[in-house]
Amino acid sequence: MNASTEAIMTKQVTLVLKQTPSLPVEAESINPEAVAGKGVEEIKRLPLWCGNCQESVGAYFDVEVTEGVNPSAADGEELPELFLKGDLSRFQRLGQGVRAGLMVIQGAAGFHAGAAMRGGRLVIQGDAGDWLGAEMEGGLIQVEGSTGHFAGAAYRGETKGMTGGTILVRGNAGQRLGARMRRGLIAVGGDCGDTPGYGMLAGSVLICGQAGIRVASGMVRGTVILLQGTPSRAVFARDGAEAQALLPTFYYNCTYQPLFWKLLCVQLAQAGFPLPAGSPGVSFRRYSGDANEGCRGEVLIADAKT
Amino acid sequence: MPMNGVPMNGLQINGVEIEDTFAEAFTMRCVRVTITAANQTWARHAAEAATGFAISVIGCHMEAGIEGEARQAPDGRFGLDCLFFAYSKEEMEKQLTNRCGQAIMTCATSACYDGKLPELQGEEAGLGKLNIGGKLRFFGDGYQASKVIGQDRFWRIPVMEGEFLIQEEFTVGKGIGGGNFLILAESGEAALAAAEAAVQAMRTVRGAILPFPGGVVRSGSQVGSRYKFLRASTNTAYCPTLRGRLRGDSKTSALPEGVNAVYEIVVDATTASAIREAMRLGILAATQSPGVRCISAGNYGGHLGKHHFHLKDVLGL
Repeated sequence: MNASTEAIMTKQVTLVLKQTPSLPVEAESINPEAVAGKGVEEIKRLPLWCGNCQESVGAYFDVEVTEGVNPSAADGEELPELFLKGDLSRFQRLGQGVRAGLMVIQGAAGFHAGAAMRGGRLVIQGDAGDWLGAEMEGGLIQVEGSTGHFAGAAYRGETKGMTGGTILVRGNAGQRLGARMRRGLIAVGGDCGDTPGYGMLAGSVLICGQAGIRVASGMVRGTVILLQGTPSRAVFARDGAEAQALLPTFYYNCTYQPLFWKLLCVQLAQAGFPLPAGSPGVSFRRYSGDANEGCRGEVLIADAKT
Repeated sequence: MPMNGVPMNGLQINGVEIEDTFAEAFTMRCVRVTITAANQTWARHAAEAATGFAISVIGCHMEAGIEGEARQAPDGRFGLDCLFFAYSKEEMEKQLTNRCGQAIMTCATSACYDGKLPELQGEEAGLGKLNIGGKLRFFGDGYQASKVIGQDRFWRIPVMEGEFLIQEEFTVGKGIGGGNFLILAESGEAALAAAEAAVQAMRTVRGAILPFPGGVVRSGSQVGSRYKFLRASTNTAYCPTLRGRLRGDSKTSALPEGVNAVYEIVVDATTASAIREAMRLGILAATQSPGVRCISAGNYGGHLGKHHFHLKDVLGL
């Protein structure tokens, strides 16, 4: 590159899995910031922990660094795009604590992917393990498959789950989705397990498919939206079919069209998250709860008539 | 000014003399508010109420108008963009909070959002945020709730109809108020027809509003008064009924012979280019109307306002 062109060299880093580890690997060192400004050999030397043994990226991955030109980028402004290829379901903490940049996993990801993330974008083109985006503070996580339990949740003993950012899961989610989350948005295109929104402090959880039991139990504030209406496993019914799987500490308010839902639909559409046709015009039955926690949260259940 | 119908400077458009003078305008704080509702009728009710009695900062503390249909309202409903102008951020916040609370929140199905000021991007030093929704939320008596969508926070205030949604912060920038020109015509009918044509043309300009009733001013003002308690009084030099009376007071009328009515068009805008374009379109439209003798502009000798819009420059003469 001729310096007189004022074009900036940028890189795309690709890690191709060549060996599946026999034990889970702690891989928090793999993120766009960690590989920025490094050559192939430097990236191969990045540390990984497998069990109680320290290993390196080069032990499991082939590394490719592709140079490109970005005339609009200022020197040092842009991070390389990081691509990981292969079944990384045994690699934990991928993208943990990332502050900026794009990281694409072309396969499955293990536990804690995007946990404590602060910014940037993490795309997982397969399934993700438990604790996806746990305690994340910002940024965007997009999962094209399904995710495990505790997505966006608080770790054991912590009081707050995710405090910002967005998690979009096209498939299903496990239990305790968004448990104790403080801020942000989680959207699940499929079904989810029991107690979604458990102990929520604020924020929004959208479940397009079937939800498990005890939705939003212990909720303090925030919003859980059930777009498909009646959950499949209705227990604790207080008012027959109307109360569905909600605990008796959730009280019915009214059926209406909250305007913020239309804004949320626009945001999700812009992020490429598919919603059923006609979603912006859906009416919701609004329940307030959990009465044990001040009754300041809400569960919005799509009204079957709309 | 032309005397006895003879142009003195030779500037003409469509046979109408263009006086070699300028409009003097002022830097003002501006905010764009996007008002949406269930349909066009209710959006207009809210917008007209919110921008009502916002004619001049002299007596209304604010100038406002409906800019036009929102190109992309955040909630996907019909929306109208409204522009508000005030002399300070503090006054803007006070007035806008009142207007959003009294005129928009009370209106059926309405919601309001920060219309932002994309035309002022690149002038970050002049941009700021006003906390409007964050103050109105207290109307919810503790039952209000907020929702962060994207990068913006919205307040959901429970009302008898359901919820009133308002964005927490609104972008405030530095706009321009007081762009103007005067239409001098042979008769009241001719002056009004020309003014109406001008207004119709000027309302096509985005980023500009005409704050006066129908976009037209009939009672232009001059600075000061013979009465000490008044800051402004009628623009005697342009009052046709005083043409001869002023001579008795050793004063001079600004009206040429044959002019029997004058209207002023005032335009506020987010940018100087929008002021220029609105003035250009308005003057061109007015000069095509029969009976117009002269186009002039109002100024204070250039000593008060930072922005000077010379008619010959605006028209490319």
